[in-house]
Amino acid sequence: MKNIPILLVSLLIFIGCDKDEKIDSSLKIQFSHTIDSTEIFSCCSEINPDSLIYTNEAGQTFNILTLKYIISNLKIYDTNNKEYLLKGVHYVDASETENTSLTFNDLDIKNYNKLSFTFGINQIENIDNQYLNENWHNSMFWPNNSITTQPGGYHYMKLEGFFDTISKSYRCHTGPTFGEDYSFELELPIEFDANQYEKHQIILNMNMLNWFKTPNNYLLTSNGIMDNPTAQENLKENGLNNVFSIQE
Amino acid sequence: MKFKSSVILICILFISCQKDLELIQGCTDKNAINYNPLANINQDCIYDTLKIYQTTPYNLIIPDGFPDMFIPSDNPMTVEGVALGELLFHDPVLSANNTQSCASCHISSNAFSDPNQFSVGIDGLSGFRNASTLTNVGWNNFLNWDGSAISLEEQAFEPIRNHLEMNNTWSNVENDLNNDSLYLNLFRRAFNISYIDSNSVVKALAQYERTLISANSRYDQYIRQQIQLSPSELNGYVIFNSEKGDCFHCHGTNLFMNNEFNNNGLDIEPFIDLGLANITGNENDKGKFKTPTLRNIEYSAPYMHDGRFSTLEQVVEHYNNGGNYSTTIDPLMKNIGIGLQLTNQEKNDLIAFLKTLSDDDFLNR
Repeated sequence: MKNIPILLVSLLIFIGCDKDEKIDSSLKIQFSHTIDSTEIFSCCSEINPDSLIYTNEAGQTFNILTLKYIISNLKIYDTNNKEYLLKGVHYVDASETENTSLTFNDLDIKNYNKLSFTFGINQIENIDNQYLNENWHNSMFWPNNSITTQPGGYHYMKLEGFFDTISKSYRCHTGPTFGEDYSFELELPIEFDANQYEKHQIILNMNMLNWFKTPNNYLLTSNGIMDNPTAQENLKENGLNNVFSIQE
Repeated sequence: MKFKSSVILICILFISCQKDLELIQGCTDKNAINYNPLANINQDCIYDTLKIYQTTPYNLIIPDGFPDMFIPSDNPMTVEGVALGELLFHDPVLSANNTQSCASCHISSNAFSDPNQFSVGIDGLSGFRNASTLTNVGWNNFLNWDGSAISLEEQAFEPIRNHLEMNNTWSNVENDLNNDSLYLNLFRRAFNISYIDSNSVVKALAQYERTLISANSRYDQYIRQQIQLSPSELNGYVIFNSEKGDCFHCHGTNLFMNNEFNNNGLDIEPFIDLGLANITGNENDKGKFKTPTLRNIEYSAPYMHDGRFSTLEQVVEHYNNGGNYSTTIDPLMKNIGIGLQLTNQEKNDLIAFLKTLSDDDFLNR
């Protein structure tokens, strides 16, 4: 009987301490890919390769059957500009729900005001066979060919579909063409206080039409662009401009 | 009273049903040396505790530049398991009339594929797809042209019971093997079992198949800077690995495959063979087939899922013409109906490169 009050007091202390120290803060980053605010691979719709349902700045009608890309060095920054690396390399297949979101737990209790990432993998880190055992290795590898100075490594993005007519395909494949680095870094403002809410969500949106306009009017072509530095540069500049945005 | 009668009636029915079941006493534990597959009342199992065989781990060497191979945790590779699998792979005991083995349709000198368009089973019946090469098959995430199996173990169940192929039953196979003292001994040493069941058979076959590794072609020797390729082969290499030929998107990496399913424009709709859609039921998968490795392609003719092309020249010509449009054709097929437009020299160079993927060590296993 004597032990019961002691036990109760201990239990109360334990519960009290637990409440004070438990700040189970997490950040979910959702990757979205939209045209006119509609997700291009929405959950329940069948892809219809027959319909060229989108129109780009140049007036070309097109559809999107494949969107795969890599982002790297995904970081957030606190208000003192201290950076926190969330993930080194992340592969997104927009048609697969399993890798279109990332959740990070146990964040430092800070105010965060910036997110940054590299679209693709920068030249120093984009090494042939570096991610041999990732399930996206086969899908994203960039051919290594010393004869044509192709350096190997990985595509940054594979954007594929049909345009103009249902039997004319395009393939916007970006990557280290002839060894040049066309990856690019982006910083985007965010705002969340890991101390205030337990779960935070950021939507990192890719506006698909903006790949094809501003500053460069990009024309879809049936030719491959992996050996086309001008196309790579144009897409890089458009990507840097206003393809990505944060929706909190 | 009514209730009592009902209970009695149910009891009588229950007892009658029970009587239909033949009660056989015996050992029902497969690990016992006196296991009786017909027994349904477990009794008097005898275990040979003195002879627990130690297996030797098989040292599977992964070639440089190849990903790790997935080995199921319930089927670790052992020297004994691989040797047993190789024996089974070449033994016609697996077929109903003891005339065909796995090796009958997966011939080593043909890159473990069948030179016939369609393999002919024990009863003279033909299938409708070409037997796939087993080159580097351990790295396949899906097996069969339509991806109907997701592991080598699962795949191995099928040909034995397929009426177009070995037309056997697994109970027959188990019976035959359990009446063979050699196999009883080998299975015991490989898996420490006293009764050979179908799971153990497919495990042994899968272990052997995982050793079918090809990584010593002239191409590999060139990459290792041991030999030089000819100018024609090198030009073919450039065509293969650039937008000009654009072969690498589906047949890239050191595996020369993408582990995916693609519609490469062989047919117009409606498709005779739905391929992947047969398995998934998804309209968007119609006409898609597993993209095969190109390693040892010189020896794995005929080509495509239905073996429609008998030469590499025909294959290259297909891509050079751009194939046929269908709703599920892959956007990687450039200029559909127009094709790559390679010159004759470029086509020859591309084929010359493809032949550098032949691996004599593998073909002579």
